[in-house]
Amino acid sequence: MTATDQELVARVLEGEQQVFAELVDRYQRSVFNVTYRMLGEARAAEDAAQEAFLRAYQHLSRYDMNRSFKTWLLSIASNYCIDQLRKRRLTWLSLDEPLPPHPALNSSEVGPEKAAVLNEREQAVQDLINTLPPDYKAAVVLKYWYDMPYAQIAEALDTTESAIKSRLFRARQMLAEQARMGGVPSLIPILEGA
Amino acid sequence: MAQDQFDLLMSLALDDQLDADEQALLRTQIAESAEFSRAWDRMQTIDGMLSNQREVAPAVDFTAQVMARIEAYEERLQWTPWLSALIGGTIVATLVSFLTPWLLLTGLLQPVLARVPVLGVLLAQVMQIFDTATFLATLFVRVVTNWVTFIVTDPTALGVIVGALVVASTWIGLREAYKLTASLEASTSTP
Repeated sequence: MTATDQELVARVLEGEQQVFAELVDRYQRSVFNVTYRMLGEARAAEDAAQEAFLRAYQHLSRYDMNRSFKTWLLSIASNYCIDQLRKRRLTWLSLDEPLPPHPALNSSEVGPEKAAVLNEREQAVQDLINTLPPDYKAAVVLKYWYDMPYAQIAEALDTTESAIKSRLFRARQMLAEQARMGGVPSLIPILEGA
Repeated sequence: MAQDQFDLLMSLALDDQLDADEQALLRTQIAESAEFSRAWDRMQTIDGMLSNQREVAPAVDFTAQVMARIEAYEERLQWTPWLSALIGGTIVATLVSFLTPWLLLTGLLQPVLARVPVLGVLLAQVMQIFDTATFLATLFVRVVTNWVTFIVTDPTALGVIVGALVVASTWIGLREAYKLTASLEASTSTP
C-alpha cells in the first residue's frame, strides 16, 4: 500500500531523510509546472523548483498535517517565484522578451509539424502570462494548471477568497486587453484563427 | 452595463460562480451588444488556451539534484553550532582581553575583586594562560619566519633542502615502483 504524504512527512521528521525523495518524486512535476509557468524559463524554473523542495524540507516541522501537502508545497513554490519575479522587475530587463520553449515541450509524442504548432501556441500563452504582475500570474497558474478552487488558491497564496476572485478578474481583464491591443504578437494569428 | 461590470461577470462565469439571474444577465448583454459579444468570444478563447496547456517535465535527475541540495544543507547544519561557538568564543575572548586591562587601569574592577577574591585568582590564571599562549604563538611565528628567511637568503641551505626533497621523492618513487612490480609478478605467477 502506498504511504500517504503525511506518513512520509512524519518519517522524514523522525530522521529518515531519504524518504523525502519519495515526496520529491511524487510532486516534482506539479512544482516544476508552477515554477515554469511562473518564470517562463526552464533553467530558472528547475532551480526554483529545487529551491522550493529544499525550503519545504527545511520547514517541514511547520507543516500542518491537516492541510494538503501538495497545496503547501505549491504555495512555497509560487511564493518563491513571486519573490523572484519581483526581484527580476527591480533589476532586470523586460519580461516581454521571447522565451525559448521548454525542451520537454519538443519531446512530445505528436509529429514534428503538430509539435511546432503546439509549441507556437504554448509560447504565445506563455508570452501572454508573462505580461501579468507576479501575484496575478500565481493565481492564474494555480487556477488553470491545477484547477484549484478559490479557497485553495487563497490558502496557497496566503490571502482571501475575494482577493483571489479579484486577482483572477483583473488578470483576465489584462489578458483580454493584451489580446485586443495585440500586445503579444505571437497571439494574434491564434486569436484570428479561433 | 459598464465594461468593468461585464468583465467581472465574464470572469465569474468562467469559474461557474454565477447564479441563474446573473447567467441570464450575461446572456442578454452578449446578445444585445456586438462589442460584449466579441469580448466574450475573446475571453473564451483565452480561457480555452490557458486550460489546454500541456504539462512540462523536469530533468530526469531532478530528485537526485534536490537530495544533493538537502545533503549539502544537512552538512552545513552540522557545522553551524561549532562555527557559532567558535565565533562567539572569539568575540568573548576579544572583549575580555580588551576590557579587563581597561577595567583594572581605571580602577573599576578593584571593588569587585576586593569583594570576591576568587575572581582575582581566576583572572590572574586566565591572564597567565593568555600570556603563555601569546608567547608560544609569537615564538612559532618567529621560528617559521627565521627559517623561511634563512632558506631564501642562503643558497647553500636552499640547495641542501631542494636536494633532500629530490632524493626523498626519488626514493619514494622507486619504492612504489618496486611494490608495483612485485604485485604484478605475484598476480602473473598465480594460476
